[in-house]
Amino acid sequence: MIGWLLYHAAPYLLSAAALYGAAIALRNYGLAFANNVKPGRRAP
Amino acid sequence: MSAIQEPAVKSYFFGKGYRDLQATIAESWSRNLVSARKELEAARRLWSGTYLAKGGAILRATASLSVILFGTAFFLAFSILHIAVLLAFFLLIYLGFTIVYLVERGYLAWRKLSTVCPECHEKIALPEYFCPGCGEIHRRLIPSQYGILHHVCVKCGTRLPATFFLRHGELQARCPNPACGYLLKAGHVESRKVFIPIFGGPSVGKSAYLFAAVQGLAAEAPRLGFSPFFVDTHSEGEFARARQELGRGRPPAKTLASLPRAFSLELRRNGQGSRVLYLYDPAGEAFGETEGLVLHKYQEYLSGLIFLIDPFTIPAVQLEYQDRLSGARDALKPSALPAEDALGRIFINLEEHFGQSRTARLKLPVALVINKVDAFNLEDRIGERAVRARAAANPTTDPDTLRNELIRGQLVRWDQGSLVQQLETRCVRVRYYTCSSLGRMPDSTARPFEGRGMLAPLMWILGTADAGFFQSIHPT
Repeated sequence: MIGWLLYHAAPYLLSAAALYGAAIALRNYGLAFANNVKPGRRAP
Repeated sequence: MSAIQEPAVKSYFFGKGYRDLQATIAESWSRNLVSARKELEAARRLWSGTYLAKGGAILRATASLSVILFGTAFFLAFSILHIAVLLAFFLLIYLGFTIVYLVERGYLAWRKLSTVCPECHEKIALPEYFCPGCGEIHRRLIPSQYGILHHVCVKCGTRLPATFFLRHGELQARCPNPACGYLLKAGHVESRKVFIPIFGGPSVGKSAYLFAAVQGLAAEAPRLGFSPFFVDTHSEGEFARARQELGRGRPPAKTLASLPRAFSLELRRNGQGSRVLYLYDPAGEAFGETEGLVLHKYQEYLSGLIFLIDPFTIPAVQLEYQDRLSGARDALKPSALPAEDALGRIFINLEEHFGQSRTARLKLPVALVINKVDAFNLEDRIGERAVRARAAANPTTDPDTLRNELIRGQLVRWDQGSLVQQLETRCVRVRYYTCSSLGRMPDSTARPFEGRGMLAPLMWILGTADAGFFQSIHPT
């Protein structure tokens, strides 16, 4: 029973894990963008 | 050639934007590696546990791999988008400042607005401007990658207007010639100008002519419909000194510089803008040597020419007045250089240094002015009194024509036919005038000098060189 459940749920769980990884990558890019991209002309 | 480092903040899309992109990529990668390592660490810890924990470890390891894979995909996709946005703005700004720059240059050329250094006489394409906040020198204050309409000073953050349309000419500027560096005033920068040098041999009275002409111009200004203003304090001080000297019956001091600073005067008319008059008074000694004339760089952009002659350099005049001349020699100070020689040297200089061919005719208005007609009875013979007498006898003839005929005829009778011929062969528009730049013979008294006849040749040249602005001006 548990084996059957794992067999059928595994792809979804792996997809969720991959999605989680993608979300982390997206968050990382967003944070890096926010930290570094500062348009405008200001004297130092 | 090394590029000039402008002390202004460069547009974001021309430098910093790309550095920001690089930093974003580097930081996102570093964050991805940290996240992936964290997930992998968690997976390793879970792997040693129960079956359920092992399942969790597989999921965390998957997430770690996903961070790397999606991190790469996002970095690629977002970087392409980021570069596209940067390039789009780069092109827009490039187009923007190119258009503003071209429109500005076109407008300046159309309105004949230029910058000429009154000190070294160089025509300046772009003056160097001082930042009003910190005094930093901005060498390329034009629409550019540093800003389309304004530049931001890198030192103090002051916004400087970068185009003529925002009146950057009102900032303190200086001549970019490293050997000069003269501080330019607003009137010197991007204004419409009229350049008139007063040529002639030594002691023909050029300095007195210049100051008396400016004095006449100031006195007649309200009637002529404009207001005169001194462009710089140097001209104002020089004029005040000369007026004081003339008022005390002393001739102005002799010009020593063969390459003099321009005497600049702004003439403003209501609703019609203004013109900046550059009058030059080179030392007469420069005419003794054609090499000296090479220095007169302003010959490149002349508006007209006043050629002043001393009648007492003419042998026939000396002979006619020999009985009275010996007693008045000190007062008259006759010039040592014959007028024909001085004129010849101007033409030689134009041929040798400015590409004027021997057969080409000068299109500029040239006024030949005989000075010192206050002496003896010259006023009655060739002066305005004589012109008025002729006009009374010939009411239908134009007084200018009568004046030309009278003076030209007298010069020919004084054996100056070759001078007249040289002038008329080489110049398209010539007029003859007389004047007395001091108004009377110098003596030991302190009676003020009051020149006469200086304004007419000046106004004729101004009216010919810039008819639109000076068309309604007719001096008496």
